[in-house]
Amino acid sequence: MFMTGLTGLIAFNVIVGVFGLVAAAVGLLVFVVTALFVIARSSRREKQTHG
Amino acid sequence: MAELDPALLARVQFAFTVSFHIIFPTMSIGLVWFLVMVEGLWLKTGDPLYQQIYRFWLNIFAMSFGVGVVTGIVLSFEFGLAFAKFAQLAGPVIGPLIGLEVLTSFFLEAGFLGIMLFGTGRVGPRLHFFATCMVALGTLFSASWILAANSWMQTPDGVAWQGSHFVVTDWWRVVVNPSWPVRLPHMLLAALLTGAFLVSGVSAWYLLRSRETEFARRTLSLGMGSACVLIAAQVFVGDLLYGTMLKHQPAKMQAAEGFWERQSASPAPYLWIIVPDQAQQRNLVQLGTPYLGSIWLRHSLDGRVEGLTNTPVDRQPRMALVFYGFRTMYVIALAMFTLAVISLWLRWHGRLYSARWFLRALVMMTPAGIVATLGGWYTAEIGRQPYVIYGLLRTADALSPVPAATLLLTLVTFVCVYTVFGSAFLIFTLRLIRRGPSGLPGHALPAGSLKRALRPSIGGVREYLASRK
Repeated sequence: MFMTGLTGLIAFNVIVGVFGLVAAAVGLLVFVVTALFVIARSSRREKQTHG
Repeated sequence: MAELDPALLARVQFAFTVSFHIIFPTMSIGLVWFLVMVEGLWLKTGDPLYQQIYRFWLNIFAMSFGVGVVTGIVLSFEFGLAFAKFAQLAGPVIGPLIGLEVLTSFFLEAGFLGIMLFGTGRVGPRLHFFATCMVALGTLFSASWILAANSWMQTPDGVAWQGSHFVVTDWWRVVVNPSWPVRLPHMLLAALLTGAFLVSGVSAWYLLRSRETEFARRTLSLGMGSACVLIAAQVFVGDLLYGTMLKHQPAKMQAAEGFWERQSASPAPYLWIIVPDQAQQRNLVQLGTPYLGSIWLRHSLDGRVEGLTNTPVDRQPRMALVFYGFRTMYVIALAMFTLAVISLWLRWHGRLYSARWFLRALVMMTPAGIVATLGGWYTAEIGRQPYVIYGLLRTADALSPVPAATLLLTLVTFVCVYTVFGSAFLIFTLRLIRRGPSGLPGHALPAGSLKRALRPSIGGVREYLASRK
């Protein structure tokens, strides 16, 4: 997990370095959408498990 | 006493009182919006667990709100006592802004806080939710006016000099000055993140001890879920603010990045540790990550960063304080982002509430938002030096003619009184957390009308009068 995270971090920084602020904004937006998706999915799963 | 500098003592006194104060509004803004979310969910779902979460955090919110109000009033007096020249010159600008805070925010909060704290079961749930929303709105107004006043001191606009004081020529430009539209969301997001990590840290502590499990799981889920969205927004807004301040207060950002050269090397490293020598205008030691300075500060692979020698020596802030204030905030923000990403990973794999190393990290991050906020404010305020109103009035020219001995005495008094305040807050908050939500008094009375809400107190008065006969 550590290596995956580190690779992701370096990749994100290189993208920001090459494509600038727009890439950073898009990256953050993608992160937020992913977060909302993961939270919604895990909440549904938890509701099914715990009622 | 001759060797004591009144200017330094006045600044230390204000720094101490405002640093102590800012902790509490940051917490109360963060917590009240968390309470709005929790009570809204309770109204929507009817799940009593949300009501329990609300009642528990309401107590901690109430204490932080109380200490915040008391310590905030002191600051207004300090303008007159230690910075009389500032009050005289900038009074026509700062006075109305603080007055508007009282009119719009304090009145709103004072009107609805009682219902929020004592109205559960005495008024209907929808009216209670409305009261919570109004108190939350009050904190938003309060932050807006205070940030307007402070941002005007950072990037003054809309005023003219009339011989003895500033006069306002355009109120819109005073309030919506160049830095306010970005500094306000930055501060609000900082407060919300403080709340999110506070509730998550306490929940993690319960989970590590296998106590209050249902309460802790739900609170942690809400806290870290909010943190994921908030930290992403904060990174973006923080970057915008960096650009704004670079344009309007370049000296501050030059000091914050730790470079002295007019133009750094290309690609620029991102400096993490420096030992600056302000007299020689160079770093004795510096440690950084290659390329990262260009990427993070210039959003390119080879961008250069401007150093502090671009600013004349007599207009430079102290680099060490600004640099480490900024780094404190930045490192904590990075830690928050990392934990937010890890929380998503763990949530996806169903281990959010059981990964003990993650829970321990969250416990350690409980006060992180407060520390980051303090770091950010030190950057903002020390980075504005040697000016109190940037470019217009130097701090040295803003002081009251008060002897050093008097300032020292009041400083010591403030330290003693605030130590009592701070200790009392910590003791009661930790006691409340140790006791847990199950240790709170029984459930509130069922909802009723406003007339019914007043009945117990009227009954109490009747009983008292009867006992006197």
